[in-house]
Amino acid sequence: MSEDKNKRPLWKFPWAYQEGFVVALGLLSIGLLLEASSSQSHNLNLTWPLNLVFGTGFTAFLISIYLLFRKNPIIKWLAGVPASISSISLIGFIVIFLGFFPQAPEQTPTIITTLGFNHVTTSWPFLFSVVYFMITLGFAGLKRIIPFKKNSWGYLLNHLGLWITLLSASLGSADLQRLTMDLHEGKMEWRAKDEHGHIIEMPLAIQLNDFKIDEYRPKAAIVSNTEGRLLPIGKPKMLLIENDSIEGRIMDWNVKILSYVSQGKRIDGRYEKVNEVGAGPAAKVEAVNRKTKEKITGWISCGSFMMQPESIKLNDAVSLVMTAPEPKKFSSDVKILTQSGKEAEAVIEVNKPFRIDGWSLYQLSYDARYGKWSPTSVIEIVRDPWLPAVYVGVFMMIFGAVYIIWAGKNKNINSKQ
Amino acid sequence: MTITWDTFPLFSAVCTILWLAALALYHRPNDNKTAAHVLYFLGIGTMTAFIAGLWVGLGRPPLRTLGETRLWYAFFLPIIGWATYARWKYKWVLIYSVGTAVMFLGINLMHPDTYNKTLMPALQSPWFIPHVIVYIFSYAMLGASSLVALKGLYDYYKKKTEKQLLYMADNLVYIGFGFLTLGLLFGALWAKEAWGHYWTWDPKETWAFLTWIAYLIYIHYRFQHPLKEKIALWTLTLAFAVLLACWFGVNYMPSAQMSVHTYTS
Repeated sequence: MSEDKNKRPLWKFPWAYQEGFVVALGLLSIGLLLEASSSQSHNLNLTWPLNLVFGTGFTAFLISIYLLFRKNPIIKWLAGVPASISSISLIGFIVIFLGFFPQAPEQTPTIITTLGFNHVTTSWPFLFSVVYFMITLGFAGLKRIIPFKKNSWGYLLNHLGLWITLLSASLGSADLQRLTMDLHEGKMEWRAKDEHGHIIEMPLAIQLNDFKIDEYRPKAAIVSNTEGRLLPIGKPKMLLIENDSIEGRIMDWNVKILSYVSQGKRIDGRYEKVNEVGAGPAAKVEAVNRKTKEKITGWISCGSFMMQPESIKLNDAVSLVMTAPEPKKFSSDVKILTQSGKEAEAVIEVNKPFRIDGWSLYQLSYDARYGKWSPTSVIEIVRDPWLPAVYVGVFMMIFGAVYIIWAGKNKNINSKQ
Repeated sequence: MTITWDTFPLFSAVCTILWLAALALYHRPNDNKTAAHVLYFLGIGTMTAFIAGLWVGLGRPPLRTLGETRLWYAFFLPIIGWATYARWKYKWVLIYSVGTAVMFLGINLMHPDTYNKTLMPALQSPWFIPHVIVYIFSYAMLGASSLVALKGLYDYYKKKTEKQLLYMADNLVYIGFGFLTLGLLFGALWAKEAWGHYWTWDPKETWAFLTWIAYLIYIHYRFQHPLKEKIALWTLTLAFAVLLACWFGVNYMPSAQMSVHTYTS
């Protein structure tokens, strides 16, 4: 370590770590100054086709600079490990702020908002660090292409894969559209909202034929009477009512389900199975205190948008309740018409988007107030024309990762010594 | 015999016995490992038979509940462990992967009530298992590399360094980093299917990225300076601290308020 630290003055070639960290620190300081002095962040939203022009230009610039000046000590340094470590560290350092602070607009300006740490990915320091990183990574890739060595393919899969992924993901973010659309059963909808709430007319129209929710069975749990919080606080113990006669222990109580009604209505102090909108689950339970042997029997229900919930007061401190059933699966049965004249029927489900004309339709949410009776389904509509380019990079890196696992480090050590 | 959860104790017992016997044979100072291989793969075969039988019995892939997910861990971990052993000859990898697999079988035996635990819709995906498995494996490798680093630091300050030690750490980091990269990328591909975008700087993603960055620095530093130990050892130790922040710490950070990765609430 000491040899290059003491003997060589700063900026005397060949450059190494000290120059790398001065460059990184310089970029960080300029970025922070720009961020602090401007009231808002940069607005470099290069949309199509400007991003394509910029991306092509940047790539051509790196290649031609490398072809012309690859013997230049600065270019050599940029393609080497010390510069790359400094650029990786700079990105890492900036992303740490992203990792600690919530990324959301704040009402009152603080040191955090002034330096842009609440919107890191659109701040100047982040932009500078990514550009610096892309330059070092680009040259590092070019170093192994010109001249090409046969054993470089693992290296290139990783380095160029990352480069392609980052370039297309950053440039493509300006063309990314993520919109939401509220669908109502039986109605045709063609207006969507962007993240600012602006209404956008879409080149496709969607009709919700049916919205369906499968639910898990509800759970029995114990809450404190004063605060109504599930007990034990932080790690509530619950009993999933998975069959009509299940038994289990919650805190100091042995709880036994005597009968269960999936769609019930309260009639004369008990619950009867009915086939009505808004009928909620209910269970007749027996709770026995493990210490006092006290036995309490009664009905619990989580209620619904039409029905009051019902609980059993076990003692002055706690009550037995039923939690609202969690969704197991929700899906929208839709009919889609596009401006291009296509017509399609599809079932959109979480994790199972539907794609048509470059748009992807995702099941996002529903009106939780109504639970499984929700007449509304919210879908997300996404268009990301740069996705294929991103995936080229991602799959290069997947193969690169397999290569790393297989090849390990051994060979490198032997060849270096 | 129909295969249901009722026959699970039998299958898991057979599996465990076969794997433990195989581990014993692997550790005998004997060059012929054929018997060990045979027992080991009979164990994996038993697990395969149980999963296949359960699949047929349920009429759906057993991928829905947490208990079913653990079956897949118990199936894949020994396979990945064996492949790593075959390539790198670290016997402890076998012990680790079999140990973890047996632990998952044990959890399933002791907590039959978790078989039907609810699994939120976003997690119900074919990506769930590969994503989690590669992460488990990556963390195991990187965890081991940090143990090596601590040993290395101790040796360094006791002035009795051994070059071989860092080479072992390097190999572990390369394997762990490869799996870490796969975990990140599988996560991105899954996120595209589940949430509409492959990368949203969610706090968990951010910390996974930071972990990746930390090991990236180590790898590049080692590549350039194979002989400078102290900085390399400290980098490796710090990298593991970032990994732990990603694994356990994220939920406690102010940034986690909006995370889509907290499944506890």
